[in-house]
Amino acid sequence: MSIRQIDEQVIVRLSKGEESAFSLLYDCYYTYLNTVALCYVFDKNVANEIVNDVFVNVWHKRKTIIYPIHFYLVQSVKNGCLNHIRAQQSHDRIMSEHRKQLLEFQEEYVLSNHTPLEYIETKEIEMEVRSAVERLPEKCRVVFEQYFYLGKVPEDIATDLLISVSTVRVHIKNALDKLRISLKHLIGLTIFLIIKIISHF
Amino acid sequence: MQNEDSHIDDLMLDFFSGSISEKDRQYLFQLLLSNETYQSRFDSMIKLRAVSFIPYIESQKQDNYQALMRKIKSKPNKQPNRWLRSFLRVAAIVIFVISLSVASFYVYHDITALGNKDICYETIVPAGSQTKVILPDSSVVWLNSESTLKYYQNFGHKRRDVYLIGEGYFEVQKNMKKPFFVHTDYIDVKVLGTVFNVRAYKGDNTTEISLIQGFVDVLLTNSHQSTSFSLKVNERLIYNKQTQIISKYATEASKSALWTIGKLSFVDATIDQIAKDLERKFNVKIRIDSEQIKQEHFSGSLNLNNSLKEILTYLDVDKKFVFVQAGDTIHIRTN
Repeated sequence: MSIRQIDEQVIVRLSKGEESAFSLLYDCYYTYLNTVALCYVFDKNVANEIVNDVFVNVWHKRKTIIYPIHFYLVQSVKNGCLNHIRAQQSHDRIMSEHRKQLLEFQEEYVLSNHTPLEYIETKEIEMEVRSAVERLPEKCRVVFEQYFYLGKVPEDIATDLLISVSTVRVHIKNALDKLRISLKHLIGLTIFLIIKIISHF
Repeated sequence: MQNEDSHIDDLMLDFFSGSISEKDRQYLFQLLLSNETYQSRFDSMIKLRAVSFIPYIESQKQDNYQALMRKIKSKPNKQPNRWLRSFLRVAAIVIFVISLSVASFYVYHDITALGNKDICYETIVPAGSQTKVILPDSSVVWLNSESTLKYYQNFGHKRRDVYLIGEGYFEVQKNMKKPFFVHTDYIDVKVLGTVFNVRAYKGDNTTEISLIQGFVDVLLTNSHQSTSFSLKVNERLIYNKQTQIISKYATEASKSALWTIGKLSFVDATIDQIAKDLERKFNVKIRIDSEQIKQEHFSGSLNLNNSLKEILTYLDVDKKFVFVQAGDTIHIRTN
């Protein structure tokens, strides 16, 4: 599965209403767009919702969609994330100043970071990440998966596994440190925005 | 330093999971602002975290596709539904506005129609007096004795209608959009803004209109054919009720309005006509018992502020009249 597979022909077929073309677009982009969204909204369910909305929109607007579609998709996801962040800002009417500033910071992050993750071979990446996770020490991996994928809080994990909360935290951090090393090339350490944002406050 | 880094990682993870405390949030934010290295750590943590989710996201992919397709498949029904709903919403507003304006149109016209029937302003001047009426459009009407002026509440709505019995001197305010109508038993006068005198006493043989300023149209209401005449300044139109003959004369029209300042003017008038004016003014009855006098014509003006006796004496230029008073009737004979 590669983003490269989405060529002009696929988009032409999509615009004609071919479901197979839409299905291919979904296969190639679903994971990528979800990771992009996760960079901005952090909650995996919210991210998934935003991505689904983008796909629904693409299907309904298929007649007007033209190749290339990549930046359109990324921008749509970003807009969805911005809407979510802004909705939070206006939703919590009474909000501490720094909370508000942090949301502004997030907003700024979305706006400035135009290519959040640069990878195109989703299947390969998936294998890579999966094997990196599987290489983690047993306990470390279990804690990591429960914390990240199942969204459990450290306190619950500690109770389930009969270990202390601080041990859970250590496991999580160890897992991240190991993954950071093995997935370094994916993350592409870009120093971001910094000066631009600081000048804002 | 190692410890601090680890603490920051904790804060960031708590921030991502949404379980961060207010105090820690503030602390984290200040750290992010204070130092570039924290920012890049934050950035790489975000990306690492996102990438780490890939196996999980992949595992959800197929199930999510089914859910997504269900959503899309159900949408074509929902989509036109939504269109329909917003269309209906707009349609409802449009219909509401239209019906409101139609309703208000009818309500308004009902009120004015009601006004037409029910609410009427009437000025009745008894014999022997005069009155000045100021209409809603600030036109001025002088009403001579024994006259009635009537207008309805819708006066000035689309046009200005007044109903006159008797004699009135009109100074009509100019309004090209709302013509002014004076309705009498036999004649209607249509004006836009002029000064004129209308004399339409029930007891008189004639109805007279004299134009002092401007321009009027006179419409015959009593005839089967609708005839209209234009009147110019210093013209007098006389309609004879018996013969139904209309005649126009050149006249010094301002004299016809002299009564408004307490004077009476005659041009070639018979004693009968003068007597009628005097009857009204002084609220008496005057009988002319001499056929000879009835044939005479008088021209000139009388000051109505004088007593009736003085006026009659003034009329008797040749000193041949005999006045006999019996109750409130005065007989004029020749000696």
